Amino acid sequence: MRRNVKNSLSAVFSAQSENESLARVMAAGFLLPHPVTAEELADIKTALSEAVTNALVHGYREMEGGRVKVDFCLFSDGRVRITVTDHGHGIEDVERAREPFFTTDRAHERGGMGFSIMETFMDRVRVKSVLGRSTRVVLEKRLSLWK
Amino acid sequence: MPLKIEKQREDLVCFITGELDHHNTLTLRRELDFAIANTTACRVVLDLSGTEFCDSSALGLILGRVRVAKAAGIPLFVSSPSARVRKILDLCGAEKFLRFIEREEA
Repeated sequence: MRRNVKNSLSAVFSAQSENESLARVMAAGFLLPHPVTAEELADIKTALSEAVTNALVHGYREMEGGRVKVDFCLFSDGRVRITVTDHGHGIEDVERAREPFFTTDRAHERGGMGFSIMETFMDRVRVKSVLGRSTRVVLEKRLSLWK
Repeated sequence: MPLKIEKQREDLVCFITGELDHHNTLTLRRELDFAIANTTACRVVLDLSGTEFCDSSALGLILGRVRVAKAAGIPLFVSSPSARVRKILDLCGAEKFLRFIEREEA
């Protein structure tokens, strides 16, 4: 099935935690001209926040110098796709990382619920990771009021 | 992230306002731990009525403070989260680990 791209936005920012809120603001700015409900926007912002936090905490292990890329895409059928890419450490076992309460970072009070939250609030979550190279998380959700 | 801490009767009430994400937990953790370590209060209450956003970082922050307070011999309660914030805490299994209370306005 071919879907036409209605609008897109790409941004690359430094892997700094202050940019977590920047990513959420970008999501709001990208979607607000369109029929998005308050709940859908909150769902998307929460899932995006988890993905960007994972990139900083696990991808780059809070080291400076990395960059995170976020691509927003709105399709003509009302589907939103957000891709978060980092070029950090990668995930050794993606299946395991997606399990609730699994975390490699208990020391920093991470709960291991990031992927569960993404899966709860989005229609579809895909993860592709190459160890030592990169991680890409693709979040998709269809806007319910779209005509 | 604004944090306002007040001693109200026997409670140390910590108002966490704004967006409770990973970035903001970094400073909140330090400030809350300092306040808990230096209080004479009988209870610590984290008031989330002004928390407009949270993700799973919030649970790590709150559970960490439960442990810090417990080590100091003080029980910690969570008060007044919005429906949205409560939903995220519940998704993270908060009911098993946290005690919620209704707080009277001082």
